[in-house]
Amino acid sequence: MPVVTFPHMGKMELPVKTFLREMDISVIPPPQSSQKTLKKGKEYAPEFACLPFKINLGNYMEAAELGADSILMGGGFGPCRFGFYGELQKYLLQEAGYEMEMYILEKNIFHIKDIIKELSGNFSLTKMTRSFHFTWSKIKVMDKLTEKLYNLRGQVVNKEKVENDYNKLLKKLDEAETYREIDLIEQEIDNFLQIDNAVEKKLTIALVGEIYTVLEPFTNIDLARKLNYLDVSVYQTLTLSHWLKNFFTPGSGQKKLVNKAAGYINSFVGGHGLNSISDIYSLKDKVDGVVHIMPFTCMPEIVARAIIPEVIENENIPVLSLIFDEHTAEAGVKTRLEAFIDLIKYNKAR
Amino acid sequence: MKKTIGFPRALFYYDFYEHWQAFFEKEDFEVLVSPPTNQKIVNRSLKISENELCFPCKIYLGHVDAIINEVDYLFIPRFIDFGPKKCFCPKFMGLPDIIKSTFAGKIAQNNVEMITPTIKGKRNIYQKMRELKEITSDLKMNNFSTLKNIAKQKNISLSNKEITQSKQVQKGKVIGVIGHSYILDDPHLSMNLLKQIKNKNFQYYRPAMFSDQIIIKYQKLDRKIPFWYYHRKYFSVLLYWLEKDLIDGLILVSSFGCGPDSLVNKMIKIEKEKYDNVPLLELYFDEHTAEAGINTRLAAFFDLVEGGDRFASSNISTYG
Repeated sequence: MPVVTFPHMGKMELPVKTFLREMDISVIPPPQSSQKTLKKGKEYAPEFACLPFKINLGNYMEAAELGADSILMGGGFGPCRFGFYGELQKYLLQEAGYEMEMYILEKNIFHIKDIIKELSGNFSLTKMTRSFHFTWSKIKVMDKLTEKLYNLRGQVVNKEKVENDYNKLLKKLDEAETYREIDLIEQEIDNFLQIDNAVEKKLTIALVGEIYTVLEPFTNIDLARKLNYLDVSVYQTLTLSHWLKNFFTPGSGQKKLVNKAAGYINSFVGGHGLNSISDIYSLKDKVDGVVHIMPFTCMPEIVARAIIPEVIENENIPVLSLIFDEHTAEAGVKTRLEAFIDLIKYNKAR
Repeated sequence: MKKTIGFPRALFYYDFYEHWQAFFEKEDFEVLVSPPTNQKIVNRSLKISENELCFPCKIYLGHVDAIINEVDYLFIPRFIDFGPKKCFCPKFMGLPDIIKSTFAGKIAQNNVEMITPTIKGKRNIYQKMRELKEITSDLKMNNFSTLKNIAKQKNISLSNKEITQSKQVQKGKVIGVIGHSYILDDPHLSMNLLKQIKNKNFQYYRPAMFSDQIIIKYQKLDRKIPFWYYHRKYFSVLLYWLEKDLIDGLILVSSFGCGPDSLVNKMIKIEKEKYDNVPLLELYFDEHTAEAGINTRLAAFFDLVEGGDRFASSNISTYG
């Protein structure tokens, strides 16, 4: 029986683990991404590859040391480099002396079915559909939970309590085995996380950019948490469910996004470059400022970054664009965030 | 008076210029191509462009800047793909938008209009007609008569130079050069790389010498080959060279910050490892590249190729 592992992306561990467990596939998730992971990955990755590539490679290596021998990885044929990750990583792992089988999930439900069938000892189509549906309901609750956390933590004085509640619920969700349990957790979200001591003036910042950097706290040095601790609520348009929806139905909703971008960008440019611009434009009245984040050399976001100055000038919305790579230091990010928030507050008070 | 169409001498200019020029001149427009890249353009482009863009893209902005005051139209097509699994880099996709936001002031001031046909889909007559229609409507030309004229001239093709026969001259040592045309064909950007190879009496092969048909040969392999149009071709061409033993040395030319190159070059290197007797030189070009550094490395590489089997099993470090 193959022992399957997968790369981390934020909280993706939870639904993937659920799905694979439901399908009777033994799974070993890699340890949480850390500096050690990155160090391992960048030793073998090409120098100019983007940050997610290096972290993913480190993830596989750490999982292999725990006993995993197969990898599930997403694929694709878009202009973003992500589609080529798996193929190259396969060769790099060989070079590094790890014997692992790479399964690349292309954006085709039949292809995915074949792979799951190969991995699972006990496969049936109904079972797969059922597991998929169950996992999907978990993802939706998880996204709701995270959204609530990012919104609330910026508004309350006792931030640790909210965090504890969140972690408790997340653990419950991980262990949930029936739809009923998931429903109960969904109800609890409203009761558990409540505002007790609200902060006086509330600011909201939208977090847009490349999806991996947005979702993975290790890459963005826990940006959402840092903003929350500055008494700012964070609004995020990119979620895991959004990414998965796009993964299975590529190209859906593009026209809508182009319309939302109001002529600043007139085409899909791969990844989430189009999303970044259309989000900045469409949220300009709803939020007080936008933080745009991307890994170093990310191609779609570079296009967005080249257009952002024009949007800022015409629409009068503050945008902070940050680039993350393996050399990013926590203090540098923190200082810039604080200055950015101060500027927004000053502008509002004027 | 004839209206002027501006054509920046960068990026896709080197692959696709000839046919478009023929088309515009037939339709009674004047085509103004920006001057060859020089230090002035480079300095200007570094000033105006977003600093994360790759070097060739920055140069493109410099070329636009050089001609924007003298033209009525700017011709900046949006390259999406040449059919499935042959897409272009996101920067090609977003190029018109980047130009529009970078030069917003100048475009409004000089009343410049942008012609941005979307190049998408397989290179068949329907797609080409659709692209022509977009161009003609942007130019406010009489659609019907133009299209009818074009339909009459069957030989006009708005894709790249179509090479049907691969040129193969075997004389002396041959160096395979893999790199984008917009770097290799720009003497300022590539520090005269191709000329230096010629001066040393080496032959060189480059992907542009081989027909696109070569992609078809390798796309049925039991592996995923790169899905960017340029890189798909480079990779297929490389496999062909290595398989047929056509080259005695390989130079990988890339620009700093090129996304697809960063992964595909690694793949090429892995593939080349299987053939021990081909020395490899990897060159990166950007605004800080110094000619002396390139020349030293090239000289060492040429010695290696000439020396033949003596040094065959080792690569030159590309890190100086």
